[in-house]
Amino acid sequence: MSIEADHPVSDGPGCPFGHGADTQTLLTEDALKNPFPIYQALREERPVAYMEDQGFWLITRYDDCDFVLSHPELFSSREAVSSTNAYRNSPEAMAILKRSKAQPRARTLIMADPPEHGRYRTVLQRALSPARTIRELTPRMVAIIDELIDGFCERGACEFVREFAYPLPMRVVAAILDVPDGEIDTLKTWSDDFISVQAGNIPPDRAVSSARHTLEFEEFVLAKLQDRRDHPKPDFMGCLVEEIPGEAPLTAPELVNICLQVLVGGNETTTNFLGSALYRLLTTPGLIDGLCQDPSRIPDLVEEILRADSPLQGLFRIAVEDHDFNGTIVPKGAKLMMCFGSANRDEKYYGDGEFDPVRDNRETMHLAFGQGIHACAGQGFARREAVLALTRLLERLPDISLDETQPAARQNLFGIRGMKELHIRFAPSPVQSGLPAAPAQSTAPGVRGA
Amino acid sequence: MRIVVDEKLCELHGQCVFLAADLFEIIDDELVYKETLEPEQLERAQKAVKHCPQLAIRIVD
Repeated sequence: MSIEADHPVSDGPGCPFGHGADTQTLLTEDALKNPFPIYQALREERPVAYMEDQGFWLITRYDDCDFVLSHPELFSSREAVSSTNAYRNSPEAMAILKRSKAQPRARTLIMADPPEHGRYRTVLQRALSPARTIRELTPRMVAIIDELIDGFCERGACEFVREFAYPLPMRVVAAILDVPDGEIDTLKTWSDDFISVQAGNIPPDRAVSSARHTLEFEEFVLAKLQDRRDHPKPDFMGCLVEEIPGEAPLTAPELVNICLQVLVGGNETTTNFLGSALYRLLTTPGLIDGLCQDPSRIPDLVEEILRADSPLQGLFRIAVEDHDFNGTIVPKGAKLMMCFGSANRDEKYYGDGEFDPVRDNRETMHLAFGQGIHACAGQGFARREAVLALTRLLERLPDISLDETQPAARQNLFGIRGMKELHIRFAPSPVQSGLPAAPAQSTAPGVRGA
Repeated sequence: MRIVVDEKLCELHGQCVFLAADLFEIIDDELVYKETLEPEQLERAQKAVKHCPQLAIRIVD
């Protein structure tokens, strides 16, 4: 049913939002852990709902999200993430940032519109080229995965998020940015701060240290890039400063912002995906046995988990002009959130929307990585990382199960889907480091016990 | 109708292979694809066009 913007509908029995829709309904503990019933009601009753308390429109149907993603000329990305200056209440932090060589921050990639966007995207795509970088980094990813499993395999139990889902993408991003192994903890600190800053909610007592970390990150990136200018190397950092004939080189703020987006974009999303993925495996009867029999099903299963548990449940756009969504007018300048988590369960394309381990996602491609000019540039990477991680986990720990004595905990942050804690058990097995790296993608049948 | 892939843009994400395996294939790190499109393949080809992360695929008459 379509809803007229100037004729608020009466509260339908199934609709969680009355006349004054706000995000509070989505922020209860239950809704944060399972927002899908609310999404479903919104898709039916108010597919384009104004959230009065936060001042944005929530777009919940697949077709509408798809339309917004496909029309960057109508929906700007300048505020795709938060636009708030997280440091506004801390003069001391602001003073520290004044010393920066890369401020004011540049709006690149996820925060840029055409034509500038194209320039950043071209550079990033060259630097993050799946064809080259993924191929070169695959052995490194396999080695990191094995080292992490070695960290807990003899114990017969572990907390999967802390010991695997969190460090894996952190170390892969470190490999991309050429951060030495000894500095991983520093990178983790930087990353945590940037996520808070992007969300616009850095606690006041952390503002000063966070501003210092911003400077440290900039110094690290700029020194690394200078090294690549002096000693060219065809890796990610080297590609960022490679001269492109006829193109002006990127400025320091632009380069730092691109590296920051790689750090933030590649990290938490992958952690959340891995947590959700393993939870699905452990809670779907027969699934692990099936995958051990036939690991070639893993890539398709990864797509289904991306759909049903999209790690990033939504992103923002700004309406460039008034737009009419089937009778609901979103005015020029208004902020919209495309809710991928809802679009990816739209009954128009996905039936009841529930996780289905044998669903064929070729029919309607999910929007977990977005779509169009801003589609996730690291998606090839993310897919490879996910498939390698799940394949290797099942090869090495085929009898993996939930540790029933310690309850699993979901993330409870709006817009994020993942696991906060996931305790697992398995038969203890010996470490494997020092052994030759496993083949990138095992297709051998019957990996159980391998 | 024909499929045209801008090989300078293609980065082997493999989404086209996922969505239209009868039209696209990656062999030895190279994208191989059927140029001529049968009418019943059009819908799958259009999906590949839409979901190519590099926007490297086009369908021409």
